[in-house]
Amino acid sequence: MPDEAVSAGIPGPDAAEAEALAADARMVRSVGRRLVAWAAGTTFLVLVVLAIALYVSVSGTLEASGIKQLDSRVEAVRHAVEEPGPGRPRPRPGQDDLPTGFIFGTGTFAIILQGDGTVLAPRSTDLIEGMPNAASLAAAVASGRDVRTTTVEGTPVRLVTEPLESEIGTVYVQVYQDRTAEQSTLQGLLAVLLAGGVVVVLVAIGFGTVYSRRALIPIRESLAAQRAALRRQREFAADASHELRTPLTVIRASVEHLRRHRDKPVAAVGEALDDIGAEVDHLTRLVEELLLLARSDSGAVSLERLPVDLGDVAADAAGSLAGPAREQGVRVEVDPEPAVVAGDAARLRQLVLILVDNAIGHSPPGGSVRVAVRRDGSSAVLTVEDEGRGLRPEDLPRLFERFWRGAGAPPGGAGLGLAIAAWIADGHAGTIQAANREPGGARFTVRVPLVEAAAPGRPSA
Amino acid sequence: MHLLVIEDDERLGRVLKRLLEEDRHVVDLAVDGETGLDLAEADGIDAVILDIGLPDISGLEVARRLRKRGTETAILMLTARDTVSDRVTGLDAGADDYLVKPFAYEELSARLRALARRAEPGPRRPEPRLEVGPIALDEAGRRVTVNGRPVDLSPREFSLLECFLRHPGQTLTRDQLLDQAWPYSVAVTPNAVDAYVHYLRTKLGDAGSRVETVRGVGYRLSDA
Repeated sequence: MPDEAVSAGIPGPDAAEAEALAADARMVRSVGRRLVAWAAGTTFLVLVVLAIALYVSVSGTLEASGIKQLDSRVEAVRHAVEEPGPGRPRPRPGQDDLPTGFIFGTGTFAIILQGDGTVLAPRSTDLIEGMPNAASLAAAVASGRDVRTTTVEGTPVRLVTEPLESEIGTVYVQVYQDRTAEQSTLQGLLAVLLAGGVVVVLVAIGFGTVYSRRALIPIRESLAAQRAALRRQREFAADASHELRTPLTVIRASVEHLRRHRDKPVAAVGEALDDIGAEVDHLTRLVEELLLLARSDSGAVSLERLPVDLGDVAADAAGSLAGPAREQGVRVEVDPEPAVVAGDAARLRQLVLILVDNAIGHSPPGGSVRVAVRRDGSSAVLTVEDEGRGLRPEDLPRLFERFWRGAGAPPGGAGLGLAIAAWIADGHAGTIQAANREPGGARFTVRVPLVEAAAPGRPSA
Repeated sequence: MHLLVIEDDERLGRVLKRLLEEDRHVVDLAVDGETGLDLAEADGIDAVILDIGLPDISGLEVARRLRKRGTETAILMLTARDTVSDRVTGLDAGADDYLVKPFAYEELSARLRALARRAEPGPRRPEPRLEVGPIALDEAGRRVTVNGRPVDLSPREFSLLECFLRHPGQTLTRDQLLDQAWPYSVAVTPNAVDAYVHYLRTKLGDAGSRVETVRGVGYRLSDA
């Protein structure tokens, strides 16, 4: 009985599977996004830490060298004031012969002043607006030394104020340094770090996207393969239960019939008993086939790899069907040639039985089924030919699918035989093909590698 | 009832026919959709038992075509598929009821009775029982009694009586009776109707006179 699904064409992904596939795609995309976010985030964090370290280090170095410059100027002034030799000037208001004011080589500007803020040197006309810095002076008066940054007339400066011991008592030296160059260096550095950071993060996102996509391809594919496997399993279960239901219905109804005629002799209900027997046989075969296919799917069936003469196996298997075939008026002719392959004798026998049984089923009364085994190069070739109506071209692509039954298939089968035959051929590193013969009828060809591929015929005595 | 079973599994078809005939139904059997369609169109079929998985056209398509042609015959669909969407598809295709294999025969039988009740005009009968005067036909037990005494009828006689009881007071032509009580696979002449009506009258005893001959037309069961 043909499966309903067959008339509906090859079953594709159903709605539930499409939904699952979409969910998988969403999941993979979100994993991809997270990967990219992690890559970009990590890159960003590393960059920020590096940038801060670089900035702190550079600005520290610049500050240290600036302070060193200021200190050397302070020392120069101290030297002039604290160790007045003969002819050396003493600090006094308006003085201009002490090393104060702007000295080009040092890039600094020095003032000598008293604790109350009175400038002793240089002359007040040489001072710039905003000098001296009262706050720094106050701090130095209180604690001895003060270093700070501020602005003078809009120019960023660093200044240090230190006490000096002079002949007129404690005076203070206040040295200014222009920080414009230092600041622009730091700003330049900051700009480079920010721009570089943005570029690197963008590049990280770009590469992250590309690589995560590439890395997720196998995951995407394996998910899709899993979904497809699940679908095949679901279809297999549905098809299997479908095939089991009709025989069960017959058995159930026949049992009902027997119950009604409990008191009748067995001969009177023989037909019902025959039906039950036939269906039980049918179910038994079906269950065995299903079990074999299910096990082959899970890899639980292993094939033996022993030297087997395919010719012997074919002759024996086909011969065992010759008797039943004769009852249907079909002749089975076997033409074997020795061909030793590495294989599982029981499975190879099953393969021959399936093909020959099929051929008999499709043979018209008076027809004959020809079974032949030949050596062809490195292969053993088994052919099974019948004189039936042949195969419909539209059936060819699906012939070896499970539960596939072409229109006009003889009753009783579940469409598993050829699927099993294909599995057996495949398990022997072989192939199976179906084709129509010229005068009419079908031909199945199985090719299995020979054990001694180069063996030239029979050794001569 | 005159039933048409469209089932491609030979054994299942045969078993169903055997059981249904034991219950005194008239059964025609078709093993493919096209044959089934032809037979279902014929007069006198009360219900079609339709398998979905057919070799030529699917049972769903058979149901659709029957409904498209305006056939009102009850359709009971049989299928091995049991998902909700399968059932919905079956019912939407025009089936009146739906049975999933493997089913119990009693259930099939009860559902057929329900379909028959639904097909009758007028108020629903609470019991699966057809009664006119002293004649009573128990649909579930497939038994006939006259004044409470069981009467043993052959399947054909049973079908004829069932036909009369379903249409009390109505004149039924020989052809109508033929369609109802004989499978199409059996070639019979209208004269056979006369013979079987005669047997039926005899077996019903006194109540047999209720089956009246309408000269030149056919027969009528008097419900007065």
